[in-house]
Amino acid sequence: MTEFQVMAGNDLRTGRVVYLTADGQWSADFQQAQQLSDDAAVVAAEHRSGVAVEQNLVVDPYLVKVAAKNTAPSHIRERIRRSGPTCLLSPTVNDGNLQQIAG
Amino acid sequence: MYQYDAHDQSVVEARSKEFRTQVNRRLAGTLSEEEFKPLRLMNGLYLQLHAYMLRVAVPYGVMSSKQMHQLAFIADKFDRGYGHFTTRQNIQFNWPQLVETPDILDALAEVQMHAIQTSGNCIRNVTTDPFAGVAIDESVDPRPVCELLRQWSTFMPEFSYLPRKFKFALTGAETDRAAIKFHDVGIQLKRGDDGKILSDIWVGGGQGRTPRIAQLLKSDVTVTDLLPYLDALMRVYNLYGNRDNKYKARIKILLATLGLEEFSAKVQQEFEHADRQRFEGVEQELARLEAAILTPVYNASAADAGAEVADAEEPDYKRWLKTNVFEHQQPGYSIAVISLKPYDGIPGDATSDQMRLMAKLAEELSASELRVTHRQNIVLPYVETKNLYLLWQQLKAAGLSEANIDQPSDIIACPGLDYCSLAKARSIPIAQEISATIKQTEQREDLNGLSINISGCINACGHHHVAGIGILGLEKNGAETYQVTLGGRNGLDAAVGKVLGPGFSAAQVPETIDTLVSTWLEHRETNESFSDTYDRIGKKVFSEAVYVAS
Repeated sequence: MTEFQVMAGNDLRTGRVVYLTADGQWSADFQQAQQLSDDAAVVAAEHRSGVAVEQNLVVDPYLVKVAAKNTAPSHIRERIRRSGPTCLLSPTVNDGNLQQIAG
Repeated sequence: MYQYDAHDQSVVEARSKEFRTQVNRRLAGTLSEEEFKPLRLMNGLYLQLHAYMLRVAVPYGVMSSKQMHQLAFIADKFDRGYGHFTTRQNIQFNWPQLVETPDILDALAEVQMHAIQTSGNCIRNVTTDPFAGVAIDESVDPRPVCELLRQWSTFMPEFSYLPRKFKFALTGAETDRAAIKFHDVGIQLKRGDDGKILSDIWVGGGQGRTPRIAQLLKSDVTVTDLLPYLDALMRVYNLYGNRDNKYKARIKILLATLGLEEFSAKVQQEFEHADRQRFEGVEQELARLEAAILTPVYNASAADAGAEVADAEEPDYKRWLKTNVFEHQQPGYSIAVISLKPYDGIPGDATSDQMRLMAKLAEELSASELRVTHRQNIVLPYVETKNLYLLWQQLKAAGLSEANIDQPSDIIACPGLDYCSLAKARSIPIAQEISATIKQTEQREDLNGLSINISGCINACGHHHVAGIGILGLEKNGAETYQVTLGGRNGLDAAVGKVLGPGFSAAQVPETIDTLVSTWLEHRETNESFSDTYDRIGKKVFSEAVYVAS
């Protein structure tokens, strides 16, 4: 099965989480993230993120695994990073807060 | 409270100005992230899971109404309308933008605040008893000594690049409300036969991945010798502390390596060779600080007003009086603790509206002063007892009247995986679930003597080691799992909790806690704390109840 990844980082000025898009931009919208499925795409994304670091646009870029193309990150840490703090999702408890957040 | 002099103010303003130039250089690209990171950390600015996080210092947990108002302003203008009070008696903002951080530091400087020494391998914000100066069991008000230590340690070049971060805690009371035995250095202040202040110095305590209880290094240190002795201690740590492995860099590891006797001998040797001229006039400086830390003028007629007030029969108010109000040194006054632990809420969080209300109530009812506790609550230290009902009514209207101080739902929780880039598991939703679950039992039974603390990783920012029931979040095969420890204590009878057994999923934690509480109540002798019961009956009873039942 093909493994997919996306490139994530933080916007230098705001600190917000951003993802590398297919057109080489950085977007806070995870849905816009470029899906990287082969070595060539990963190398190109790493090059682009290196340039973004040098241009003082992005901080600490790294690759994030996703379960399948256009799905959520595999790891809960990255799902929370994508969606925001789970404790702010709902004003009440016992509604699934303790379950793995939705993919 | 201590008021800045012109020198203090100029230092803070200069620091803010300097950071603005550093941020501008970073944005312009003349500083790389590698170069900038240590500079931003020296100003309390981290890059966390979602965004930057700014940790603002509240020296020894004391702040004014004006400062709390300014924190509310910052929360609204530069953040998302709330802040998080921490176990080091500080406050963190979770969403500041780098480009606005210099403006935040300017806003802090306007009210004699800053973010200095809230990060990095330096002496961090000194913490103390949140009841300092008003506690009935106090022999020495620790605040002037705390201020002395703040001034001694701030920007001291020798202590700016220590092997690892370094934390002081002080108390001058019989009951340790500052957890001094779990700090790199804990100081117990007391009075000698001549009435002068003496210090017992405890060293090498700490939590994290290697929890240690501090050992007594030296007793009866005079005020004259205090700074030279601490200076010598820091020099020994600076010289011999491990700089190769951050996990072995804290002073507790050095103490374990050298042994107390050798460590003590080295400190004594350094102390005897100290340049005493550097410390001349310390007693006079302490006297100046004592005078500067303004004690409010008590209302002489307060003692005659009577402790009880009309409407005291309201059950919720009576319960709040019992759990959140503490006896004061001054007749006619009370210490009121505002819980930041609403059932199913986020421990330690306060909205800007809540901050403004607490500031207003402090202005009107508590000599314009507030304290942050290491249990992440807020203290109003100077409330006339006759005003308690008025205070409670206003807190109730704002959702701040939870009657649960020192109850199991008064949970210490670190930000965990919801915010922290180091965390392995979430803490806050676990705390929310437990507090919601335990609410009914807590309101029905006397659960005094049980603390529940939660950390989202082995760094133990949520103090899980020292709770009656500690919960440690870990990661196993990509999923959150929670290890439970029992029998911890954070007072002068300090103890590190012991692991109960195999870990639990997040969904299993509330039921597990419920079983542990039921088992405690079943075996508890009158007024016995959870850890006392645990020590008396042992782990087996609890583990059988939890694991056999499941």
